[in-house]
Amino acid sequence: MSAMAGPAPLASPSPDTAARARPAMRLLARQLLNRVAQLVILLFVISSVLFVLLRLTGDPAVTIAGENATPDTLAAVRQQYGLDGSQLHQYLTFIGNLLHLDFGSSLATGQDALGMVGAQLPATLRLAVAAIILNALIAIPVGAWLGSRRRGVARESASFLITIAQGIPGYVVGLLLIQVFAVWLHVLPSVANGGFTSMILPALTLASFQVPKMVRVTAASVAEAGRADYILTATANGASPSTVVLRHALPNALLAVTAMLGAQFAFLLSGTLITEYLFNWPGLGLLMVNSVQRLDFPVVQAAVFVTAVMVFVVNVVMDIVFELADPRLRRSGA
Amino acid sequence: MRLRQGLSAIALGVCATLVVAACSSATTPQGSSSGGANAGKPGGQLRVGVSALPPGQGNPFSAIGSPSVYVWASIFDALTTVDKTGKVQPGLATSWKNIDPTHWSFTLRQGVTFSNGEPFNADAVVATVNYLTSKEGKATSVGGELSMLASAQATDPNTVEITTSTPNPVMPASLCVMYIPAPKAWAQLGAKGFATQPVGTGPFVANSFTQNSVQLTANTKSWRAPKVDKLSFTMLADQAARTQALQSKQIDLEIGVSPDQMPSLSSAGFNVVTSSPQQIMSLAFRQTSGGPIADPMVRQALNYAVNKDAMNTSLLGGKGAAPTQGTASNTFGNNPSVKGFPYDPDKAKQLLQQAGYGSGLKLSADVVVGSFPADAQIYQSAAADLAKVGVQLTLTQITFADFLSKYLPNSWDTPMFGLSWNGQPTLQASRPDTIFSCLQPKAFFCDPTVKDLLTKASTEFDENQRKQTLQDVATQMQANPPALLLMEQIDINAMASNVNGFSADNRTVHYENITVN
Amino acid sequence: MTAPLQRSEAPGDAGVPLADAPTPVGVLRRRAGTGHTASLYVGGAIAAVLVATALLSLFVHLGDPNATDLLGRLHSPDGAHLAGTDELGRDILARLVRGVRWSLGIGTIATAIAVTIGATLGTIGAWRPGIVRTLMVRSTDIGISFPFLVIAVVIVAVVGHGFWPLTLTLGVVAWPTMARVIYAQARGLCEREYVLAARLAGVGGLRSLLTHVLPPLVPHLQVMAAFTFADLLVAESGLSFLGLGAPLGEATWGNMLSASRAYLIQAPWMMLGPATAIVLAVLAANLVGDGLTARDHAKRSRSAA
Repeated sequence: MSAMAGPAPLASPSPDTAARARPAMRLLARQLLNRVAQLVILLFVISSVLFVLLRLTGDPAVTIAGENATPDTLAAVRQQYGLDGSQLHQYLTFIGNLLHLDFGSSLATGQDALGMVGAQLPATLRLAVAAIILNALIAIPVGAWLGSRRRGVARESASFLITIAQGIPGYVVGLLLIQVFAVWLHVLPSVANGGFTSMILPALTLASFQVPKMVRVTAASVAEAGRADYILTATANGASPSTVVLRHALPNALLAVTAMLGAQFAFLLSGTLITEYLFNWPGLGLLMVNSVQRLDFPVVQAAVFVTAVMVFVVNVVMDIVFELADPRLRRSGA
Repeated sequence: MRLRQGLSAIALGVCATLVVAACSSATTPQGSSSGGANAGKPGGQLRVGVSALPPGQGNPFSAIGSPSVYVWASIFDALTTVDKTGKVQPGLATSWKNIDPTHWSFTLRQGVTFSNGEPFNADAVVATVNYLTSKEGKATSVGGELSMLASAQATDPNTVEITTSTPNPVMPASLCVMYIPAPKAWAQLGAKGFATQPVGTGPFVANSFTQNSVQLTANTKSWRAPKVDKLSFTMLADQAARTQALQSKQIDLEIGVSPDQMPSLSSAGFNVVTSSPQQIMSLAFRQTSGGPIADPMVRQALNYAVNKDAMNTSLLGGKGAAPTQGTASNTFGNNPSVKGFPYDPDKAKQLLQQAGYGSGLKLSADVVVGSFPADAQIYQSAAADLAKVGVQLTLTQITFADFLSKYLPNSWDTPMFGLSWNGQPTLQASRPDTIFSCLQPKAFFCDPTVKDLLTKASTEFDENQRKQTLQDVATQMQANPPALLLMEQIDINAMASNVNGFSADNRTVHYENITVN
Repeated sequence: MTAPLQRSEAPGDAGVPLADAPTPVGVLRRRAGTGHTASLYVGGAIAAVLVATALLSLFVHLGDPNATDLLGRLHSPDGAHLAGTDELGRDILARLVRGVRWSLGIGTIATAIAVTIGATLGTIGAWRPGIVRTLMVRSTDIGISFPFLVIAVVIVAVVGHGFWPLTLTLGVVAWPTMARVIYAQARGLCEREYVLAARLAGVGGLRSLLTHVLPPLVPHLQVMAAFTFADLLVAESGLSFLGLGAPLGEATWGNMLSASRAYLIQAPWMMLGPATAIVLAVLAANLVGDGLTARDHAKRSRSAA
């Protein structure tokens, strides 16, 4: 998806590699600037749309004032939190503040909204990275094994299991993990407590959202790569099957896998929502769920902003890596 | 090929760098240790799991009651407390007297200091009252609840005189929601700063207030010094997760247990405690907007149609009670001779026939679930009972924020809505009764007789007379029911077997008495 | 190397076939001759059973999903209740059957919405360069970055809970990914020589689009539809899990799963019923998608050879 987003660069016809490098670099720089411009527009539009949509979900003044509030209390609260005044006025103030990345204070806690997001972000990143690593650790070997196998009982039953696994919702996996490892066996904590052990179950749960797909992609890529000419050559030259897989098929397959890992990031972030809720993991997802329910608009705005930036940056990085890595794509047109 | 391998490695290396960056910059949430290090020593740690932390964090004026009170009871004190029977007990005030209808004098407890060394005296009380009567203070929840306060004066360091704007016989009881913050700290930090660095006279001092947990250490100089060294509250909004945390020994005390979990927790050795918070769960009728429910016969019919005892037995293990009126049996003003509406579907059908709805009736209700034990099941069960007498009730689940947006301006689009009110913290019938009357701003139900009675009761200083008047309200509400009464609710808490000394009065937990072996 | 990537670009699409097609049932494979058809058959069969159940339940009374029985709560599966009873004494099997209608209905319609909007926008973006294309790509960017949860909450707040709000939410969330993938495919197709030649020869834009670009896209659409359906099914239950889905007490698999959490120890059958149902439905969709991909792949390599 991301590879197709931007125009593929055309290589210069000069045979001299050094001379070819400079225009390519300029192209890269131009692409980056282009991307930054895209990001700015994206953030502006998202924030504006969010501003309107959030106000459709309810009136935050009542949540702050509470169930005992009198009409006077409500009016006072509105004034105190800048929720009086016309919507247009509020919007313009919001945009003005957005330009200095000021999202205001949380309506619930009074702390700086962006600060709150920043404080909870590392927890989510840790979880996401752990999940990606687990994903790779599980999916790559299994997928490589699967993709290199010939037709047979082992492969058919394995692929059957994978297909079934793909149908199990991630949060069901989470529930089962909690039930088995935390409640019955007491070996792993089911609630975040800052220690390393409490990260295991949530990371496994988050990884489970994507592991079956990753296995299949890896298997397919390995299988596809396995049919390539250079593999046949290597085999003909007497290389053993495992050497063929490890040294020839897998590295090529890894490229597809890496690109897919990057694409997974955005979906991982949506998976973290339910996972963090299940395990009470104090990350961005949990903050988002709580803030949306409490109508804490500044925090929701800040969280969405930060998430959009992260996803965008990861996509750009993956695009660059991908384009640099595959010379076939660089010479596209061919 | 080597280039590609290298670049793939770089990509994965980027991921690894992210890990390192995230790990090193992460503020690891302070958490529950396994407790092993502290077990066996006097002191130890109490880890509490709650459904929500105070939205206003350490600002004691930002809310009233649950869930905030669970945390604030460990940090602050008020002048008075109200016990289970409704009797007003001394807190930071040891005695009080009513000088005239609008003047009260409180004698304060001596030798009490705030955790930062500031002395507790009449000036602290005056400062608090001054704040609550100020513009900013009036807009807070506590300020709104205590709108009768006019001013306070320190007649000597241990006596304070409080003046109310209108005569209010239950003022000492109402003061139980007025937690006293350290005046200098409050003045210095302001409401926003104080929220993360609260200072009170209670048994614990808050070290950190994060989004998801509160960490406290013992305040050994407090007038009610605790027996444990450390206290922590972890927010576990999801009920299933909370119980799992208790079962996997990550918390010691769970506030808010589902009734269906009681048997398995008990058999696993946990101590399950139920108490009556005097909470009546109901489906309120929006009589002021007309329609079929404007007819009192219809409203009575709906009450007869629901089998409340069966719900209590099956869904709450019999620990709740079928409500006879809008207040619980030990609320001041509850009328024991009002018997309520026993289950009688035939009578319900008869009444509906008489009212002209013999062929059926369609109603809808917006409800919030997850607040009380088995509430979702109670609502659904009631709907199923109503279906048996020909009333089609469609239930729509809304969030609490949504509920408030509709409740405060009375802007519902359904003729009924789920409403649970209790007599807390004063345990007076007048509080819930007022909600269901014309005296409520943006009233959804109005009965002029009830309005007159409540107005009379609000200025009656004679306890017996006031009780009589409030009981008359209950009688009137039997004839003209403002709600489909569903259940007298319970609070269910569970704790590990090594936690002793737990007790709570109206959700005010006495943390100073708890020991963890 | 790029071919598998094109299809696996969309995170919702794992339709990359194993080298010789995945066949969960070896016997069927042999009889069918080619592996991918077996996938289609098995998936199709499961889907047919589900659809038949849904249709049947409209006309035949297959148990009352809403009949509460407070005394018969949390009973394990027995003769009277083949799948046990839930926390209000309702028959789980009857609720599962009612849930088929809900899930299939939402899944199908939401997928249809996503495919229609996504395919239309993706094709238009591929066909018309310049500002139209930029607009389309940017709007899918925004759509993808927009948090799923916020959309769900907003729609629920404005429209309420129910079948149509949920369908709308899922459709709105799924179309950007669909558009991206179709755009990528259509781009490739639009730049084929015969299309350019047709345009030069003066063939009208719309006609060219309909006769040259759309037909080869159809297999991709079918595959994407199958996998999107699977994803949305899971997403619907996730939304119910967070309390943003079906109305209170409605017999949907998501609701049932959400309610089962509190009873994992006492009544595990409450979770197993809806979990099995979801897995079956998703399995069917994935198998169909696999089969379609493999068939398309086989066709392509046959034509390329």
